[in-house]
Amino acid sequence: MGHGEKGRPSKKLKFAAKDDYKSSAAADDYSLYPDEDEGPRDGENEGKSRDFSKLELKPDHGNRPLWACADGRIFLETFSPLYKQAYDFLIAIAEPVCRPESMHEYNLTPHSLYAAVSVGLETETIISVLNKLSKTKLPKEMIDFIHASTANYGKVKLVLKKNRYFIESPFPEVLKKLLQDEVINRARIASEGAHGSDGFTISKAAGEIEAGDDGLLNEAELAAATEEKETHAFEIDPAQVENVKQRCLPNALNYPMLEEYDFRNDTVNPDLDMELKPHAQPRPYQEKSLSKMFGNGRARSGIIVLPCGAGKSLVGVSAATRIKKSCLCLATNAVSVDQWAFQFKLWSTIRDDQICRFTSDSKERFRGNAGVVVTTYNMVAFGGKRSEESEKIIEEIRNREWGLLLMDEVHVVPAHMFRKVISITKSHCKLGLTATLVREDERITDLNFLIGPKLYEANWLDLVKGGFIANVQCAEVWCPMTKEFFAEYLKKENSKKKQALYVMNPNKFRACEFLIRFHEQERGDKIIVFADNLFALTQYALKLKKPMIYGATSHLERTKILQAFKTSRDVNTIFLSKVGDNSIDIPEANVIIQISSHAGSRRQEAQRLGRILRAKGKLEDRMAGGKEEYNAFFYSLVSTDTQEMYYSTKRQQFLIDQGYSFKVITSLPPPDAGADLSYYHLDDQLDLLKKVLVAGDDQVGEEQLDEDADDIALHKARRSMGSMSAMSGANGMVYMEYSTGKLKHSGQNKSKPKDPNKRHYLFKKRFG
Amino acid sequence: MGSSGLSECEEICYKDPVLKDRQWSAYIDRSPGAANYSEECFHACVAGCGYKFEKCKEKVDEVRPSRPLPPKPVPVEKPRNPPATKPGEPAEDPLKSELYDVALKFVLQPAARGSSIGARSLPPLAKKYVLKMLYIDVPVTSKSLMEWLLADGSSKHKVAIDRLIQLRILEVVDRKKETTYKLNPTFQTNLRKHLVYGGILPREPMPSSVTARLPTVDELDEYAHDKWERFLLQLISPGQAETATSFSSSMMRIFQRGLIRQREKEAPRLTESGFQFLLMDTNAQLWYIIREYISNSEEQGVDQADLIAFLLELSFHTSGQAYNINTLTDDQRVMIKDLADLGLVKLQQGRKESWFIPTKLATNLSVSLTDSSSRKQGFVVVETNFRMYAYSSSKLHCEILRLFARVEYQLPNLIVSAITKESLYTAFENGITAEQIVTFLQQNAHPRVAEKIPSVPENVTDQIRLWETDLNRVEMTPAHHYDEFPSRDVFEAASDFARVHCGLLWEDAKKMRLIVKADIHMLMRITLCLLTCLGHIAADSANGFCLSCYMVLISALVLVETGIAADILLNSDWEKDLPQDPTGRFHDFKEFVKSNLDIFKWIGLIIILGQGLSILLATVLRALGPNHCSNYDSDEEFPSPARLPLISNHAQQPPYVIGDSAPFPNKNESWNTTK
Repeated sequence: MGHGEKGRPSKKLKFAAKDDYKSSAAADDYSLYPDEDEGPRDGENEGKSRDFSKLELKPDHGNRPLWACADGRIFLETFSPLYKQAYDFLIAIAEPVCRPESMHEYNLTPHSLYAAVSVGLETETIISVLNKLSKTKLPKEMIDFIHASTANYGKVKLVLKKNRYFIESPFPEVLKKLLQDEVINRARIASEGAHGSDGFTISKAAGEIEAGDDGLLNEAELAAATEEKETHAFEIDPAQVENVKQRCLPNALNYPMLEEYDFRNDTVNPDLDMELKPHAQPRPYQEKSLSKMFGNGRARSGIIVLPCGAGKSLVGVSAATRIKKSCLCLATNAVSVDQWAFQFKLWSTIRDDQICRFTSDSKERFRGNAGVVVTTYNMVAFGGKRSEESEKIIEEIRNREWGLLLMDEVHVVPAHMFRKVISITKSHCKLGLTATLVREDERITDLNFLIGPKLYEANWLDLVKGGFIANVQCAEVWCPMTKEFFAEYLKKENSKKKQALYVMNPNKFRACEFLIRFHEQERGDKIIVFADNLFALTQYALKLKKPMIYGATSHLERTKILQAFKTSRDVNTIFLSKVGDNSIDIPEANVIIQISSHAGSRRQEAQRLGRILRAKGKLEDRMAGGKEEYNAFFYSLVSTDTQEMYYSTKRQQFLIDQGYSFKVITSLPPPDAGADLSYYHLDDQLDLLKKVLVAGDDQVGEEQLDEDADDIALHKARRSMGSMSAMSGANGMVYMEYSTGKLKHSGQNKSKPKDPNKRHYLFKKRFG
Repeated sequence: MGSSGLSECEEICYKDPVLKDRQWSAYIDRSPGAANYSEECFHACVAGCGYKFEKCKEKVDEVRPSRPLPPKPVPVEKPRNPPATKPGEPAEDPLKSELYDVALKFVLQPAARGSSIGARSLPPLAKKYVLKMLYIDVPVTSKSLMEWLLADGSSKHKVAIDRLIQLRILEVVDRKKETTYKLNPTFQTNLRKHLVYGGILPREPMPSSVTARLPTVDELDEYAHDKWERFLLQLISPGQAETATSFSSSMMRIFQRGLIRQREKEAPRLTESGFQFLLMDTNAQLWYIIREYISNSEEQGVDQADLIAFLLELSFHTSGQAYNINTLTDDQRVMIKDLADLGLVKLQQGRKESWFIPTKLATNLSVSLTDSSSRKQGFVVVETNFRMYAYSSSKLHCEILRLFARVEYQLPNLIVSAITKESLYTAFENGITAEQIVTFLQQNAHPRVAEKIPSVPENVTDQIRLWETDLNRVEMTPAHHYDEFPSRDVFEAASDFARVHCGLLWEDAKKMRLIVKADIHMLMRITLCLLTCLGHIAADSANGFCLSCYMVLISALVLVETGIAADILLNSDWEKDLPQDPTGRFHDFKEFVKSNLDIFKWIGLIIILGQGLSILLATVLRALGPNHCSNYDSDEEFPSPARLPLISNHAQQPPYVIGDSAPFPNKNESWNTTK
């Protein structure tokens, strides 16, 4: 539904999508799982445990790796000999809930099954493999659920062949059903060379599942799955594609179409001559994710989730080189545009004149009829008046048929402007890349329909074990509030300054200073200090005399500071506001100190952690027992007894579900080593307090950036309990829903999340 | 002796720390005794060989080369089946030693049991001694005992003697010149009788022809385990168990006593010791229950002696063999039903006869408490995200986990739960400590994670502890609240005083309220009293009116006192005028006064004198004071400054009260200015 709806305001779009989803649930008889997308951690189910002990245990259960519960929850033993196979299979059919070391939990959801079907798994295959792996007999409810969810999915494909749109299906009866619909029937173009009684084109499609999936299926099943199948197809009018797509959505005919791009047979669009350079060796998980995307010789649209630093850009470049058509690459900001252009040149044989950057500063145009354009979401979605030059480029982008739309940091896409991007550009295949498919608003769900299902999600811990990303030691440092600050914190009249007060807590400052000193002097590390609060950022940076980057810093200055940080030996610490959260590539840094953060955003926490995930040092040193088992450090400084504690727990949830653990440190700086740090004396602390109190309310608030509506969403009042997306990988949790982006209703009640009654039960529990 | 073998060494090593022999003390101290320390014990023993000869070094060197090779399983094996009536380690287990004392009384009486139990458990040499000494009525010197031995047998001798003494079969008679030993007379006569007349032999197992199919050892173990678990389940959550055992609810309540606390209209809750009980291994739990059972047997109309004897006897039966139930007395039949409920025996009914089969639980009764062989395999996996996976199908485990975690899923052989702050707070409320929970998790770690270090993720254990300390952050300090200070001066002086004595907890300068620690409450009161007095004087120094008031008050007080005194003196039954005193305190006080009449006379005199003096003083002051009584005739005439400084006189702070000497700056100011 993304394409044809340029004019609609985002809000409507959102609700439309939501309604679609809801009605699909109703239509498909999902009522069996009324709380299915809220997950068992939801408050309603609290206290009441689910008893499936009546399930029959298979006699050889010891050898099988998983349990499946009737409510869709699946538990997987990681120490089972079949773990690898089971993991590959489960990641394809279910959403990971949490993946710590010994036991993983997954949730079977309609969305995850949709994704499974879209990568070529069939209902019977799913059930039989699941049954094979399960320690118990599969509960009947689960089998029914899989049947119900997958019955219609994946039956119909929309294929763009030689610039003609075809609707394809191996089941002629499904096509007949579709044709009964008026809209679709009208859109149909009768082809001349029709075979078969129904006038469908019949072709043979072999090898639905590629060798990449070998691991997950036994040979017999593989054979069954790859059995040759006849596909029936009819052509539809390109102009009617949007309407047809919409008719097929779950709220109408409920045959959601998979979009596939048969790029090899596309002769209309000119080829782009580029190859991966020989030194670009995709890692196993990168290969796997690509194999999911190019499953049957065609390119599927979808999202690939890889942790930061795991080499997302190589996956993107490889995808582009495989399709070999014009590619539009979208990034979040100018710095990462530069980085993407660099990555393209680094990994592929693309000529310099075939790649161009399109940002407010540089407006390049590629020569020839095919090429790669790297730009930002903002540039494309910008609605205001443009300069003549950029108007031309935009026009070109609009008119061109792109082979691949490559979207970096796709978790920011759901904001309305990014929807616009997708509707503006015409592309055969969309690939979304992200590390954290979580948002605090509910719009992750929309990605299913805007881009496509999640194709692959890597397990962080496995990558750590494999040495592909750094092994990070996470720590939460508890800094007690000083008496004076806490007294002010509790006063009603300071409610707007609460954040400033707990961020400027002298104990926190001292802990921060201590950590910086420790890592700079004792270990020679490169440190990034993150602070969302601009007031705190400037105060900290000035007091410690370190460079800082925030929203207002110019591109030139940013580049200069980053350059100095990368090369100079004297600049070992930089202060970043949240502009540094995403996609600024600073491979040198290996320590992060977070002094203030953006409320309870799990994404931000994960993204920040991502800044230091790039593996450094020799592999053998980094393995368990090596001389530097941990060479990256993530400190989150938290003032105890304040809102921050609650936020911090919430923020960590994503990482904890990925298997990270946060160690709590309670005494920093050590009692004997505090005298030479700042704010040792009470007078200094009181001065600081005065400074905070004198500053205006607007000064002490968080930095506001326009580009990220998710952040804005967090500020707004909560209206109702919403469900997190099924795509988020954290499906089990429910978060508060915030009103959308830029709507500034005066009537919104400003209830702060700290209100214990409205707190999510999960956190209520932690905060008593 | 130095070149003696390992066998000697290990015997000593496992000697219980009962023997007070000085020469061996080093050894004995190093002998932890408990079976799970056996490895350590062995090393200690090897080291001990060195210690033993510490007095003369050459000898150690002599010995060392020929020291036996390090551990074979032998030393570990030994303590597993220690002698039957041996009460474990009395020193470390009061429970058993207490029981032992009781048991001994009875066991030594019936000849058959005494001898059979006693004899069976003894080392061969000790048996020999007993037999040899059986018909010797006079004490035997240790020298003559030694003469029965070969030259190198002295350590064995020691062990044998120690054992006999420990079992109280042998009595040490005379220690003056030489140690002499004598058999316990009761034991001796009983054994003699037994040898002469014969006795009831211990029950023989029934022939397999009579009994139908007997359960296998595994089946029996499972049965016992199941029974025991069901019993525990009923114990900790009475509502849960499906099939109630035959224990009457009163009996159950006795077992639950101390383990479960039940408040009115509330579900019963496990207490701290109850949780501790659950953490113990089965054997220890069994002992706890058996002890309760024994101590309450009288009420059930069962003779304690019989019960204990029967239990001991039972523990000598072979597990897995069938014994005819007809060999039991009526009392014992009642008991055996209860024991069957605990899983100690399995009752079976044949065609004609019925029989009981003792399970491992029964035979283990006599095994040392610290026996680790009964330790169950761990089953809990705790993840860094606070989720807990328990490989168990047992309801009991589920209930235990429920005590401190939220159970989310129950699968055929897996229990999925989450440790949450809420669930832990419930646990803490019930008196379960963080340490206990952590221990439980560590002890029961699944073999898969047990090999890791730490077996429970550090962040989880840390967090559990932190949550506990979080709860204990509020420190209770008994305190007193003062308000309604007559003036700011008094208030400030009082707060300064409290500060000097480090007793000031809180003050509100605006409303003049003050909270001080209870410790200095008394001091505070005296100070305040003095302050008030001084306040009076201060006030008077500027105002005579106050003083006059004071005089009037004091005079009135004196008059009242006089009146009461006169009443007490003249009216003989003045006590009747007083209201009835139910507490009896008044009476006590009166007695006290009567017994110390002299002192009280003096006290009374001083009070009267003091009061007289104060009136006098007041008069003098008033006469000397700057303000004359003419001043106070009419308020209207003198609305003036002279009147103002009644009590809250700011203009004229009495320097002796306020004391700027207080070392602290006035804190209130910083608070006020920031507002």
